[in-house]
Amino acid sequence: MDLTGGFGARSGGIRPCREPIGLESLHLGDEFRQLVTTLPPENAGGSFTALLELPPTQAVELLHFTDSSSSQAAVTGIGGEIAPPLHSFGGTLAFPSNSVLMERAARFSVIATEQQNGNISGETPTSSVPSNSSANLDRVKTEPAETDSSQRLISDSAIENQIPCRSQNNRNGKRKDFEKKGKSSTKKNKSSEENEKLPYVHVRARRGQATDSHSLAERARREKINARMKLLQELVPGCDKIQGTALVLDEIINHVQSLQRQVEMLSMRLAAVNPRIDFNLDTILASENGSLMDGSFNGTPMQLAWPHQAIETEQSFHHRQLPPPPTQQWPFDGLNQPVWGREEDQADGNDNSNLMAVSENVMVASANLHPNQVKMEL
Amino acid sequence: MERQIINKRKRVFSLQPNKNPNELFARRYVSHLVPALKKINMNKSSSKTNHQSFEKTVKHEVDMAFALSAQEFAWSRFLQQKLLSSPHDDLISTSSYPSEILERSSKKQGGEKHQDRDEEGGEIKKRLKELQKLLPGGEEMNMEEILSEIGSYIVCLELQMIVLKSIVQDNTS
Repeated sequence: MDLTGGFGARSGGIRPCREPIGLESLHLGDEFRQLVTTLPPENAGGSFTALLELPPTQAVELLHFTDSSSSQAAVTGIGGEIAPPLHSFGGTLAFPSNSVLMERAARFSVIATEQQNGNISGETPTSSVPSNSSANLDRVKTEPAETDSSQRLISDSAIENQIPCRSQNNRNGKRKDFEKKGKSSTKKNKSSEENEKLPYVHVRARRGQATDSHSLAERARREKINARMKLLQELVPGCDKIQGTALVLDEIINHVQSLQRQVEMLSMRLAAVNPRIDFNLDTILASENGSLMDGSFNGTPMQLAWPHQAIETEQSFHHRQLPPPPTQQWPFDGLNQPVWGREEDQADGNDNSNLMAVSENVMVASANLHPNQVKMEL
Repeated sequence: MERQIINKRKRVFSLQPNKNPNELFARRYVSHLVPALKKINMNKSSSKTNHQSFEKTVKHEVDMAFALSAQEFAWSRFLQQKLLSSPHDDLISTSSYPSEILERSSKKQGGEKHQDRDEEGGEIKKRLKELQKLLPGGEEMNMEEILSEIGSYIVCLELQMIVLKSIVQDNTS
């Protein structure tokens, strides 16, 4: 079959660690094929029932970007680091720097003293928008940024299992705890979930390093900054290979500048086009469908939101190469029209329908990278 | 068959529109921008047909839609304030992006101790200042805030580009 043949041809270009994922996708793809063959595809209602037959979790995982790491694992299958996507919680956006930061902190880290607790806990939640920090919730336990939160954390059973002697740490001055910390291993292997629950970074003084509170605070800050830099490195294409903070920052600056310039260009083009824009539903739909089928593919923006590793699998396809400036492909086809038709029937021809059409178009297109990735893996 | 699979998947998205944050942003953005553009169009016929001021107005609306679509982030609030405070006439195409360096932030960074250890600390400081210029509201943020905000800013910029490209491409040709 074409799909399996395509998969066989592509697997050569995919790195070995991707193959398990591919197999998962292949398995899911089989289910799709079965659904397709057994059900009439033309009717929009029929497609929905087809989907309903699909196990909902699988459908959601396969086709939606959910914030759970399990879905990411299902599609990309990569353990390792998860690229910083925008998380949506009940209709809001959140940049999960905190939750991913915690995972990073797990690698470096651990227990802070009472002073660091105060300092660090003050930093993290305030550095993000309140809705952000409250939104990063599924994996991060909500701890308010108060000093007594450290008490609660210390008394957290998970921590206690590993460090039984820390219960009174918070309110005591500098003590031999520092020495204990200094002696222990440089990297403590805490479970990532445990660290994810902590809203701030715990720092452990490594052997031979200064243990006064200032240095520890500085180290905590530095590690936090390093964690954020890593996130940004994953975000900006081509930054992974670069060594050195300054160069990475350079890349980031260039990237932001180029994005801003492109937005300005697009807005000027929009101004040029604007007089001719027909906000009428029919023409928007018709033109969109036409242009959608012809364009070339752009994966850049979705690299940011989707797990980074998934994007790399696509580099085996030629047309997935991303030249600057990127060009776009909207892989729609004629079968798309029933979808729009549905929208059209429901709409009463006012602005809402236009918005629905344009937004649906962009929405499906922008989110379409996800199924495209999966499709190509099939 | 493959197309049917693709289309089935496409249709799935409308089941849970709020699940995908990209879609969320895109939808919000379009819902802000399209009516604004319509209004501009209607007003344009009545007012003077100065193309440059028209461009500025469009840019203003583009930025406004951008800021309104990402309310969860600090930079969007700064951008909104900036857009609301500056009158349309004074808008240059680049003015929506900050271009000043603030003394305050440089002093803040000068006080950091780790700079002593870090040989390229000065280099990094320079870059951070650049970043501050680029990010709306960057002047009021310290280093960590900038780093955390810049990620979401980049993602939203790229989503915005997708939307704008689709609108422009659909209406040219």
